[in-house]
Amino acid sequence: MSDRFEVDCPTEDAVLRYLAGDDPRSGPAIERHIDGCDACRRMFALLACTSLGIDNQADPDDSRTDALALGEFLPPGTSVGRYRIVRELGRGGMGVVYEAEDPELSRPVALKVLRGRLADRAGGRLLAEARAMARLAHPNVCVVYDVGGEGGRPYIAMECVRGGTLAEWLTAEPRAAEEILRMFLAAGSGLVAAHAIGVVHRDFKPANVLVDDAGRVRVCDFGLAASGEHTAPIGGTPKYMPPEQRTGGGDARVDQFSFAVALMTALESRGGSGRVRGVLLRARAADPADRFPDMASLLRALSRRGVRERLRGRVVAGIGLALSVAAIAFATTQRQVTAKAPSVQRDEVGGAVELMLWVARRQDAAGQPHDMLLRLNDAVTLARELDDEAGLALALAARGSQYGKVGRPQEGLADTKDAYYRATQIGRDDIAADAAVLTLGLLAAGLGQAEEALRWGRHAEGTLGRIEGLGPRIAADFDSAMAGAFREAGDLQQSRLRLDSAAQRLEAESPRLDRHLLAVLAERATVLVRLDDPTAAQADMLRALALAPGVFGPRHFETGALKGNAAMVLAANGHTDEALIELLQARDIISESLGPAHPNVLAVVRSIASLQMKQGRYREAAGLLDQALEVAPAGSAGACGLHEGIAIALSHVGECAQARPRYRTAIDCWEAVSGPQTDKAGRARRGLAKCAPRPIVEP
Amino acid sequence: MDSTQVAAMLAAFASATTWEIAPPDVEQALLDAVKVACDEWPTLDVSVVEFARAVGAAVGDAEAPAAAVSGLHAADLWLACACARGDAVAVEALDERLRALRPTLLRMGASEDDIDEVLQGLRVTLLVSGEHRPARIRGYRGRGELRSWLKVAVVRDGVRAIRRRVDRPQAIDEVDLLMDPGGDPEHDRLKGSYAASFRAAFRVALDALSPRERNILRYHLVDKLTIDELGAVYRVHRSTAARWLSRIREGLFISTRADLMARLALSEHELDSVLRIIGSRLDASITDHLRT
Repeated sequence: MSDRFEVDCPTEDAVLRYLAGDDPRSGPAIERHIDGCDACRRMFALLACTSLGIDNQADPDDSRTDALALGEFLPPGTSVGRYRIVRELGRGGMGVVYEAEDPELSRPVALKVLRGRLADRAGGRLLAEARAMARLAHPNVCVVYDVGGEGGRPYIAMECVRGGTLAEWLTAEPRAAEEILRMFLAAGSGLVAAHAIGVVHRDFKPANVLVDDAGRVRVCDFGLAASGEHTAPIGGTPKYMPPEQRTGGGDARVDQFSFAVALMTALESRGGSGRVRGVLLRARAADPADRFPDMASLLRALSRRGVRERLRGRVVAGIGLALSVAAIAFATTQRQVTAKAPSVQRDEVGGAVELMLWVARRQDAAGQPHDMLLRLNDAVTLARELDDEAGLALALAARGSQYGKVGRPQEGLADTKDAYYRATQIGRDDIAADAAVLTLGLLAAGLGQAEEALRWGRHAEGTLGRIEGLGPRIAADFDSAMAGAFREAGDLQQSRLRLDSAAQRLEAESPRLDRHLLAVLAERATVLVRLDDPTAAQADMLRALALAPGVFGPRHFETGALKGNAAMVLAANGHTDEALIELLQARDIISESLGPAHPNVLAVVRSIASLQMKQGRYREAAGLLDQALEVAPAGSAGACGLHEGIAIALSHVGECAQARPRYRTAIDCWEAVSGPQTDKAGRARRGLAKCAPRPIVEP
Repeated sequence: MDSTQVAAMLAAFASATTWEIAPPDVEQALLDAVKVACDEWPTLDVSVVEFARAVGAAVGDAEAPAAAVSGLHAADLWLACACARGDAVAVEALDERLRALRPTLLRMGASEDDIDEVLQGLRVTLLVSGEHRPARIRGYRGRGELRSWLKVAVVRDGVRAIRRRVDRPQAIDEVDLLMDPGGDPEHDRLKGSYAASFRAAFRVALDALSPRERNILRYHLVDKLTIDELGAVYRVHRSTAARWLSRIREGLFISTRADLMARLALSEHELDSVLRIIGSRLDASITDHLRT
């Protein structure tokens, strides 16, 4: 019997590899063996127990090492750094990926626990590169939150992405060549961003690219292959590896090679065009010197050629469209446009979308926000028709911004996000930055989602950081959008600092950017009011009001909004009656252009009501709010405020029985709009607590 | 190291692999491995050629040999080579690692005598080559840590030692177990009528499982692995392991039921009362059947 053991039983080496999951082919053979060999099964069972440290009180440290060396399995609940393992997601040559929870921020993370130790040079480099990635915010790069574990179990905490890999995406169903190209261009722009901060991927392949459920592409596992500590061959599949990398060398151009091989493979069976193939052959040249100078050039060559090919037949149609745009423009704004029309022909199609946008902006200046929206719709359609990606990104950003202005922040958000992704995919950081700032603004001011807004702030900051010679306008826009996010998050001091910074930038450019300066001053005034500094607030507001005639017309909705804000400052300084007059004017002006359900109108109504309450006119205030509620979109931040206002008014006149359900509605509403932990839900809860039913005491 | 030594090293490496000559990038990887090893063990008596051959054997037919070399635990492999040569310092280091595994054996239920016997026996087979087999330490390939590899060896030898010592209880007749809750006339009737049929049906169902399915059941029922431990063996989450277990059990139950129904032509009611009991005692039957 013992002879049989000696011959058939797997070697210690085979056991180790089986338990580490290194050799999936050995599985069935081992299963067959232990089906008949009790001793070996018992051995596996014991190794599994000890590696988990179940009966391991004698030597707890032992078990931790074993878990890595043998099973590499960390059971749910295990702590790695500050993270708690939830479940295993997958394993590869470099280590095991777990879904884990970050208890500090209570968000899920993907935690890559690496095999082996990182004491050596390569390990140090891996950590350094992961840290560099942690500073990079790009929509096509998997966000690295945190890196740690020196001396112990090294790990990388990353964004948890729901979806699959690009490799799976490619095989899941037949994909059109253009679709594939688009995904790769997105992944490529992630590589461009990484190269810009000096990180080379070194193992680019479809299996290292994640595609989330919404179809967004993110490149993962930067620099992991550089750590030569591991048994996995460098680059996983040598197929993607350029010659210079096989000998351990190579710069950022190794990624170009791998990218090209991966894309060629993906396009192989789909009959990619000859031109694309030509570009890829150059990127895949054996000698790095023969490739494109950088990844961005490769992407430009790919997208330009792709677009050009499809456009060739459409240029005539494009010019026709552009000319009809010119005609519209002519009717609207007369002579300036005719001067511009010839440039449409000169630039073939690129200028057409921009021209359309320009026309749209004229309509904005005329105080016709809804007409502007229609023009922007045309611009978006035109850009799609012409395959003008940059134009499309510009048009979407403009339309998104306009949606926000007319009180449709959700639709606006979809546009600005779309614009952002498109712009980053074609490397237009200028447009991307604008779109990110707009997104941030919509989230904060339009939807009251402070946390999400601050997250987008990081995207915006990353994009802005890549723009050379950043203009004061976009920098100031960013500051004031961040101010809005901080304000929504309840951090008024931060909000004020951002506004100070924005004002400073804009004052230096006066009068060119007065339109923006005005908005910043007005916003800062409202923050100052809440910071209990009415004197400073009034100074800001007076400056803003002085700028208004030059910037807007007297009946422009922006002027209305400004009046509303001025009223609040007046009120804070005790001038309640004057404030009410300004507010009533503001309400009329704003609803004239934007309609009575616009959030700004609702905000003004709330202000009116609160001043009325201050004067003891509670029932009047409740009536006014009730009226506004009829038109307010259900579930909007505006509606939440109205419910809360009514509750406050009712509780002041002692009608707690009626106020309580209103408070509850307001709490639910705020929680649904901005999450349970926000100030606003809390404020409403405190209101409800004050209005607790009192026992009736007999006199 | 001069060029002759390097050439000898590369030749020794290649001789243990499927490569005719070592690929060019292997040289640096080997030199790096030697450096790592010498930094850790500056005084051990190991020939570079011998080490290169061991590395070659470990790498085998890897597609990217240089990367595979870099991935080895070079210092541990160096130590193993020194042990195979009988280097006194190396053997002392190995003994230290073996001693550190005493708690593992203790937890397996081995007595102090067992432990001494296992460790002593293992030490001999590790270091001394027999007539038909090389010293066992040569089986270490550097692909995991040496202490993990030793642990596998210790657990394996420990299992054998304990099995030799402890008389295994006679396998309980699972059907007796099943049919003997005591005092219930219904059970007695079932026992008399259906014992053989049940045993046969159950055996058929069990044999129809895949080896892996049987192993999963055994791990859980015989070896008493928890769901978490079972997950660890197969590197899956506990919920997956639990799902496997319940599917296998359910499958076993359904097959046994179908087989019994065909064999006995029982009425629904009779069959259900049989199966109610089977259901409650299924694990016990499995456990006993699974002991090979």
